[in-house]
Amino acid sequence: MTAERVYTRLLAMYSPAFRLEYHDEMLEAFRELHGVRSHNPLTFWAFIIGDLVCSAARERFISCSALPKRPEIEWLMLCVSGAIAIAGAAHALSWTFSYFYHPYLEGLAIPAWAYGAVLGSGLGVVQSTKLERGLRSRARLTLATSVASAVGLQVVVSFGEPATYGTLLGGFVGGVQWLVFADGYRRTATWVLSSVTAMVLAVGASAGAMLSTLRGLNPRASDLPVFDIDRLLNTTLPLPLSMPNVAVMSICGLMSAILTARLLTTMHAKGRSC
Amino acid sequence: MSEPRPVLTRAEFQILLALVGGARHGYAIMKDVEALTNGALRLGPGTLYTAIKRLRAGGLIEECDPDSERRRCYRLTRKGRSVGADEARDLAQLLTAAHKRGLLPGT
Repeated sequence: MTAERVYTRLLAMYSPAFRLEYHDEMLEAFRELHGVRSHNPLTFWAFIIGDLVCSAARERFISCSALPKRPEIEWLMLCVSGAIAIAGAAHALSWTFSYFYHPYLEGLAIPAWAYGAVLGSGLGVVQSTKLERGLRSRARLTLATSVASAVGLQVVVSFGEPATYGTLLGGFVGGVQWLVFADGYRRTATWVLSSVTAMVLAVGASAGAMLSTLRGLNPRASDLPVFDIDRLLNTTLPLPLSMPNVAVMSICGLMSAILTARLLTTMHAKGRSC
Repeated sequence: MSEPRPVLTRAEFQILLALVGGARHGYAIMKDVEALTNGALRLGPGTLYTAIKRLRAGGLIEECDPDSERRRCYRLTRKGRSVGADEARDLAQLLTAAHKRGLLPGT
């Protein structure tokens, strides 16, 4: 195989659009370069391949970042990130408490809303990275998420019902939806469908950590009733019994999406920033 | 309100500098950059054309009539010349500062 053919194959590393524009010119430049510098093939090819890899990686990165944004995917990614942030914050709290634990603290109860506030703050900060409209909005979103999580978690602990847990997550999902809709997304049907999917993802990612936090961090919380999502995630719950939980979660996501859709669409129509 | 000045990479600035001397095709730019930097910067075709793509997108260079061998040539735009001059001015200021601080021997 000639050097030119090898180089032509290597050009596949660039995006199709880039190749369409510059393939022939690059090959021409390579040909001329090969003509004057190929006396030391090892050095020459090391230079060419290094140049190709670095520039192709950069070009691919630029091409990807220039692609039109897909609100559904962007939103789902944000939901997953937010859920992971919840799980991370919950584990960090558990670890901190166990690390500093002293028998003197035995029986000390930290209210569930406090966990919710901390978790919500972490979540709000993650979500607010989507906001590019000034610090005031970011602070507002973080505060709102924190309050919503605090209230939601307190309600979960008080009632221990799947529906209330769904409400907490509904608040989280609604917050992320708010961000995306503020960017001008109007297709409500897709958004509603996405919110249901995201709700299930959020439950999957955060339920385990949330429960371990409630049980392990708060001594009094170990006796609290916890709902079936724990068993659902471990698939020990028979399918017929787990179905109502999934249905409740889906309905919560659906309700959250429906309730916020109108508000956000109106906000968008008015061109109001969040 | 004036448009923010694009941030140039070293390769991009060298390409602008090479094109100050007139329109050139890709390989001529590569040779010119190498000569301008005394061989310190050698552009490969990949780096060269990704930089050209970015410079064209930013309106700093443009394609012009092909040369006698029908190779695509590029030339500086007015904006490219202005951005290149600003960049050179910044570099000159840095150089002066380096001299003042004794980082470089005095002239």
